[in-house]
Amino acid sequence: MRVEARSLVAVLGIALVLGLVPGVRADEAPIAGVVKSVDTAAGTLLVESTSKGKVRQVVIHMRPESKVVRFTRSTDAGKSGFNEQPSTLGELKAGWTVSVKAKHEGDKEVAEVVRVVHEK
Amino acid sequence: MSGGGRWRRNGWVFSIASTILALALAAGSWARAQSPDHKHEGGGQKDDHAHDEDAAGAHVHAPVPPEYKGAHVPSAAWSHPRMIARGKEIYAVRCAVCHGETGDGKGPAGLVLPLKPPDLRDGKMMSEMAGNYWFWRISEGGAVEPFKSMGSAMPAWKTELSVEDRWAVIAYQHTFSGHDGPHVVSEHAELGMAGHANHDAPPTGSVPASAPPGAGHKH
Repeated sequence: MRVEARSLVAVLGIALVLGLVPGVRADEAPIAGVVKSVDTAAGTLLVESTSKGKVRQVVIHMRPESKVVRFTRSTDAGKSGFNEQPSTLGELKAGWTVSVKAKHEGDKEVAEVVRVVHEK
Repeated sequence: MSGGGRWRRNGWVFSIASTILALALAAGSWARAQSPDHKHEGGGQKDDHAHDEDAAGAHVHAPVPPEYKGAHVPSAAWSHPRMIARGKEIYAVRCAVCHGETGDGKGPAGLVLPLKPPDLRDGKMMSEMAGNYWFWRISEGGAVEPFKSMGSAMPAWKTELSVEDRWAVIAYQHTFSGHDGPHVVSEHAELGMAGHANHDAPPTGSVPASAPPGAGHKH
C-alpha cells in the first residue's frame, strides 16, 4: 500500500513538473508592440501588438513594483554594450516600441518589466 | 488481501496516474504551442527573417514588393570605407540594442522580443539576401507582411534614416558574415545557383547620392 502511494505521488510530481510549468511559462510570454497611449493617472499603457496574424490592443497595468527600463550605452571606461537604466511610465511616449513581461491577474495584464526597445 | 485483489488495485492506481500524466503532458505541449516565445520550426527558434528552404536547401525569402524591386544597393556602397564607417555609427546607435554588437541577434532588447532578430553572421543566409530585399526589410521593418503577422517589432527605418544611411547600415551589416566585397554574384559563388535570380547585379561606379527608384524616402 505504501509503495502504491509513493508511486502515485511520484507520477503526480512528474506530471506537475512536465505539464504545469510550461503552462505558467506560456502566460509569461512577452508582449511586444507599439505604445499607443499612456495614462499615468490610471497607471496603464496601451500597447498594440501583433501575434499570429492578429492585431490586438492590450492594456498593461502597472503596479508599484512594476519596472520600466531603457537601454543606454555603457559609459564605463573600457566597457561596451548596454545598461538597463530605470525609467518611469510617464517617460514612455506613444510610438515607442516596447517589450512587456507581464503576468495575468484575472483578466488583466500586469507588467513586471516594460523594456523600451525603440524610441521613435 | 488476496494477490489478485492487490494486483487489480495496483492496476487501477497506475491507470489513473498514467492518465493524469498523459493529460498533463498534453496540456504542457498545448501551452508551449500557444506561447509566442516558443515558436520552433525544424528544431530552430524562429527569427525575424521570413524565409523557408527549397528542395536544394537554399533560402527562399519573402518576395520583395513591386515598389522595392528596383531598390538595389549600389555595388560601390558595399565595400566603400566611408559607407561602412557611417553604417557602423548608425548601427551602434540604432540597431545594436536588438541585433547585438556583432550582429548575432543577441542585443539586450532583442533577447526580450517574442520574435528574435536573425543572426547576421550567418554567411549562407546573408549571401542569399538580395540587396533590394535587405533595403526593403530595413525600410519597412516589421510594419509590413509577412513580418507583421509574425509579430516583428522591428521599426520602419525609412522615416528616420535617409536612403544613403540605409545603404550604409546594409554595407556594415554585410561585414558581419565575413564578406568584404560587393554583394554580387562575382563575389559570392553561391549566388550563381538557381533561385537567386533577383539578387543584386548593379552597375559598378561611385556611391550615388540619389535614391533608388521606388524606395522609401526620409521624410
